[in-house]
Amino acid sequence: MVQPSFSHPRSDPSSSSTSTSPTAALDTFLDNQHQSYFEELYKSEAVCLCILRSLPPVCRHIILHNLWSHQPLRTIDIKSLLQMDIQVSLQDVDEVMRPAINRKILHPLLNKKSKMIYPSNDAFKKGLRNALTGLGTSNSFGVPFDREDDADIPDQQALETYGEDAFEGILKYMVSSGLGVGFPVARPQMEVLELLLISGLMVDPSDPSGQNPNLNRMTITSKGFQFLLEDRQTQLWEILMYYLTAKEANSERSAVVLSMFFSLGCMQLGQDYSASRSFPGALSALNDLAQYGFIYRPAPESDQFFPTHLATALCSGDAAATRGQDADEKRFLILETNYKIYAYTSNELEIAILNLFVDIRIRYPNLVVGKLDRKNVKSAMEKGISANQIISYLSSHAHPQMYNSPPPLLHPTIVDQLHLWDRERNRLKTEDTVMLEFFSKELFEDTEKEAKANAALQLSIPNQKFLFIEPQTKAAITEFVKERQTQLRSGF
Amino acid sequence: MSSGYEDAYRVKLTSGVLVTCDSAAKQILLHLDSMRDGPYKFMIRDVDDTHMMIKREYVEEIKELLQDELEKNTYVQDPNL
Repeated sequence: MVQPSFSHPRSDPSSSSTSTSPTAALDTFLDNQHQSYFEELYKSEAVCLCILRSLPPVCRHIILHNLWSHQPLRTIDIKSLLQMDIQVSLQDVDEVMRPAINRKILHPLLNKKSKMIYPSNDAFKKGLRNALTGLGTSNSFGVPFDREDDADIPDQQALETYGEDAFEGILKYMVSSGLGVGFPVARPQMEVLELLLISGLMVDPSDPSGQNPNLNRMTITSKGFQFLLEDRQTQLWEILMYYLTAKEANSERSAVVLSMFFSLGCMQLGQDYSASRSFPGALSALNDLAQYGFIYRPAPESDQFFPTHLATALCSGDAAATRGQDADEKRFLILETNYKIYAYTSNELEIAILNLFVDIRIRYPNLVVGKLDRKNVKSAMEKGISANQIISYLSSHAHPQMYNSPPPLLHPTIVDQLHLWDRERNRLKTEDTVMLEFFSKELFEDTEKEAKANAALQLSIPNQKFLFIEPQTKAAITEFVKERQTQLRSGF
Repeated sequence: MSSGYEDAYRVKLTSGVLVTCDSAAKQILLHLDSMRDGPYKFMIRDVDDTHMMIKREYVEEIKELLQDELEKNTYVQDPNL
């Protein structure tokens, strides 16, 4: 009898990204770029500044320390700065500087006396110096728009509301797509829908081949649901990176667009900028960003634009700045052991997410009452939402009151039941196999050892002398068995 | 590979799909198999409590049949109660 164990829920690759930094998507993208890409990026002062900010503090200090020096950084300098022992191996120093090396800011090389030195990237050095001193001519921090003094401009609050509405609109659309009877939501523009499809956040279920998807009939995927659970800044960077990857797939140059993201991140909320003078090379990309609520344009064709808080907080590293809701506002769920859910919220998006897996019974202006039942949870799971995703949603939105009862936060009955419902879907684990049936114990044990050593073993049943091995290792194992057979037979 | 019936060192090779499941699901599978005749039988070898070897072409069908069977055994509360 196999006892279910929920202490180590099977690791879900899609949920492993939840604890990483909000810029994880950006980091992976940059890690895969070549030297030349960075050379192009570092032409923009804003990029240099933002990349510097994204480095760990130690790295940042060392780079700033060496910024005005004409000598390349030496290993011994780093060691003395970090108060490391002089005998510390080169790998440890390398480890500390790894983030900067990955961003091609430092290029480690051996000098004539075979000592390691770290000369810095000239473009980066120049860019950062200009950023700090206000020199440079690339206008990468944006050019303010030349407007009349009495012109009516939106205040910060209005910009935040605008940005929030635009982005939540997209999220709401994603959620409501999963429901048979959705509540009325505005459909995002075609470009946005295309990106949602390409990124795999949504699919057209009626078109499994992916040849000719209908953008109007898309539904949310497991990846899309995971995306909804991320915090806002992670979502923004993920969307931007999907956008960038899509651009690259069309063999467009993405460096200009990426440096525009960083420029936007350095802009000031409430200030208006001139599009044509700030980003002469990326005007169409800027227009695309308007659909996600990153920028606000008073008139569609005007040169004037305001970055919203979504854009200006991109590089701040401060997750709270982009979070539309306060942390307290996010905590609205009370879950009882009888599976009843009380959600103290009037946020349409949150209610829509709940509606994916909760049977909503009562809806008041500020309270939604529902029940977690098998039918709804299983239909959510059929859409690719896993038990772990639901549990992490429930616990991250738990009402402060829930913390007053003794831990664990969510009652084990409910957590276990969710896992059981998840398990019910796939009670069978199937894998291709080749069965070897032995009659000699000796030969069985030898083969088992050999299969185990080569990671070919799926299952071994010693009392019946069965071995199950990976099909692709069949040839190798057969070879081994033949050899042993000959040896054993001649042994007598 | 096997040479002669009397050979103690002979080995029999069979390919198929190894199914790993809990013992309750295993019993349902056994039941499903016993309801079938001749070529429609899917089980190649009953391995142990939690494992079974079946024919590859039946994998998807078996999964669906098992789901149906489990669905029959689930209590659904009358929403009007």
